[in-house]
Amino acid sequence: MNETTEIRLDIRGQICPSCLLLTLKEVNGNHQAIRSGAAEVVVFTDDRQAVTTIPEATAKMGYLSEVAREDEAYRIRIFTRDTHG
Amino acid sequence: MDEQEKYRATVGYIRSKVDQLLTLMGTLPLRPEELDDSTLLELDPIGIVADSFSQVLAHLHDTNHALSVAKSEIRTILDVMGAAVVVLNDDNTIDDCNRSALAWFFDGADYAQVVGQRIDAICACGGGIEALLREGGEREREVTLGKRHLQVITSGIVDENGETEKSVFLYFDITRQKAIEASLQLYVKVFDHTAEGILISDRDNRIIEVNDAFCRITGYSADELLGKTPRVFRSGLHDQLFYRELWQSLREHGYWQGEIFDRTKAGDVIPLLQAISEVRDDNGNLTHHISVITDISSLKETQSRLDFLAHHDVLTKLPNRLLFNDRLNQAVERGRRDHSRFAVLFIDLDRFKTLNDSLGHHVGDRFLIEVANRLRGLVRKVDTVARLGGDEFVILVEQLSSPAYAQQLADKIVRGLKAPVTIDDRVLHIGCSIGLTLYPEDGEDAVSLLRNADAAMYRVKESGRDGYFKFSHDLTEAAFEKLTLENELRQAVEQHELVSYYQPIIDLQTQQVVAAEALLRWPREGGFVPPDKFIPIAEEVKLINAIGAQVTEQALRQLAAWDAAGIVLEYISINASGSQIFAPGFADGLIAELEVNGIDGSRLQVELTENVLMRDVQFCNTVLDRLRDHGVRIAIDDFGTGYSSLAYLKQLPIDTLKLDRSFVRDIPGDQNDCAIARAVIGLAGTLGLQAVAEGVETEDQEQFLTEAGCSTVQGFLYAQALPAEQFADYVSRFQQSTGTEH
Repeated sequence: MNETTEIRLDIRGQICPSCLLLTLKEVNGNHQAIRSGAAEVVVFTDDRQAVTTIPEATAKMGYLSEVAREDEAYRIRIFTRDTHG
Repeated sequence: MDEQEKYRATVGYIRSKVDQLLTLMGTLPLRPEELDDSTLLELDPIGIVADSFSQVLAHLHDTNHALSVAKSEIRTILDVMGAAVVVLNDDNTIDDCNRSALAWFFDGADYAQVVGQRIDAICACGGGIEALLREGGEREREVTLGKRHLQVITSGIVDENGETEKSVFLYFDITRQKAIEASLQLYVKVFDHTAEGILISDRDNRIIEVNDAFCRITGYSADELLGKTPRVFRSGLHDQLFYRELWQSLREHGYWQGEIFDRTKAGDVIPLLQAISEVRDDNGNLTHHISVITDISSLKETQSRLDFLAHHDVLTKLPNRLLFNDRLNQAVERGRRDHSRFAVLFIDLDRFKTLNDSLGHHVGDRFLIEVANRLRGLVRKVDTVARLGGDEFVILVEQLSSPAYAQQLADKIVRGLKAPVTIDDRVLHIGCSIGLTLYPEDGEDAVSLLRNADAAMYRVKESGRDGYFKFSHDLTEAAFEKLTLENELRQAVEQHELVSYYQPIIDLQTQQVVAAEALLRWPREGGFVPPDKFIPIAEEVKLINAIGAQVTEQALRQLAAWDAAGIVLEYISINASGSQIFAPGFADGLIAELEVNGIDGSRLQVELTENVLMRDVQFCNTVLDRLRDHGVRIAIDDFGTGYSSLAYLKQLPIDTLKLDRSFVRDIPGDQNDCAIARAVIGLAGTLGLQAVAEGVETEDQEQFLTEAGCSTVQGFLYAQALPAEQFADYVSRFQQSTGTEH
């Protein structure tokens, strides 16, 4: 099984819609790697609204996402297939 | 507008388009206080969103493709499933349907022709479906479409407001299932109503099902039997070997059939015809036993009844000839094996035929039943009493301790059957004659034992009946001789070989041949068979009437012939036996014969013995009266040797007494005979009858008789019985010699 590269994006301190735009920019730039499962984007944010907007927007683009709380922030993982499953 | 303004307008336009795109992406608009213009341009939100949109479009494309695949997948599933599917819109137009639905409901129309049409416009079954629709909700029911039985499952598709948007109908074809159900119901009926009892048990032979007939036959209820094994029916009448063979047959052939005795709940033993079959599954594993039973009690009863009828006499219920022969053969077998002795008693009723003829068969039959009962009462349990037919009975006396016992039994039977039998207030007397044989000395097989007993019985008959006789081998010769004689006599009568000889009867006073006594001669083997030997046989084999008729015919024809030749006799005398007198038409026959020959009745004399007369005086009187009406003379033959009842001399119309030769033989030497002769002659004179002395052989006898008053004689002194021609010569010569020549 190939190793999946984790692309970290720390946007703590930013609020929406910047959070979303920054995340989309990161996803757009890596869309082929993410679709093939070679990479996934992990976003760290402390904006509560981003927890909703990011998963909804990436879902329309055909990505899966999961949200978890980590330290004082949210960890949003964006990927194409559940490599943990 | 200056550059500054143009810049602000451009940025404002960008911001508004970015906001529009962000809204489409599901997020909030950009606020200027959070993002200044230069940062905005640096971030390039339009570029970002445009890139994202191209991904959204790619994703949509993928999704559409997957949907299209899924849709054709669903269609394929719908088409290949064994059910018909129809989806209706709420306005009753067809939204969708599968291939089976097209075939079953729409006459094989194309999908495109059907979809969008109103169901009631294109399907005859629309009404039924509409009704289902009206009821709404999920329903399961069965409908019939032509020969097809369908199970319908309806479910509605509702919108977010709970309104029914579409209805899905699933039709499963249950025609085959229905047919199987109907067939199963039929089997159930057969199972319930068949007359045979049926029991089904599992592989461990535990009863799992019984039908009503089985319960009726065995007396158990189904509840009492379920879970038990068929052992509860065991009667105890079969040994372990029987059941072992039964199970062995089941194991080897999967089948057993036979007769079995089982016990009912009430404890009765019943005979059953039983067939047991194994039932095995596809892998050959035993799953059930099926046992079918038929109660053959009544069959058994019929069988034993038939068996009884085949081996017994219906009238007396005694064993018949068949069964008797069987027992006799068994006795012979046993005798050979262990040297045991046994006896056979052959019993013939005396005078039964007369009883049967005169009183009718119903009296005869009741008499036979009484005889059978008496015989049963006289023998031991081990003995077999059988009726061979008619009035013949036979007894097999087994386990004989001594030959004397058989003779004692025979004696007891003779005495037992002599006792009168009362039927309808009529007291009947009958006796029996018994012939007795002992195994092995009188016969070593069944046939000779019976034949010899029969011969011994005939010996009793000959010697005057009412008794028994033990067989001896001399007897067989006598019986054989008798049989030969019987056959030859029959032949002689048929060929008219018996001839009449005539003995002259002479009146000493007138010195005339006044009459002739016709005496029958049977020429055989160069000599003559004496009448006292063949007449009893003729009586027994019923030839006597034919013989009598021949004698009468010959005698009367002869008398007429002599008349014509100038030899004139007063009368001609013939002898008649008892059988003749008692035979119907005897008198008529004589009278007819007289007429045929043109001879007056007074010229014929009939001689009867006293014993014949005494048998039935009244009947004789009737016959003799009728003869006397035609002038026929009646003589008592052998007078003094029989009953000699003087009473009947007065009652009967008699003309002549013939003094028996036994009284003539010793006169005048024997004083007693002289006295008897005188008395008879005197009696005749007193009653006005003629006396004729027989067997006169000497002149002393002639002289005594003349002095005693009897002048009519016959005997060797004058002439023996002569053939007709010689008789004529004799008469001529006698007449010419004027009575001095003898």
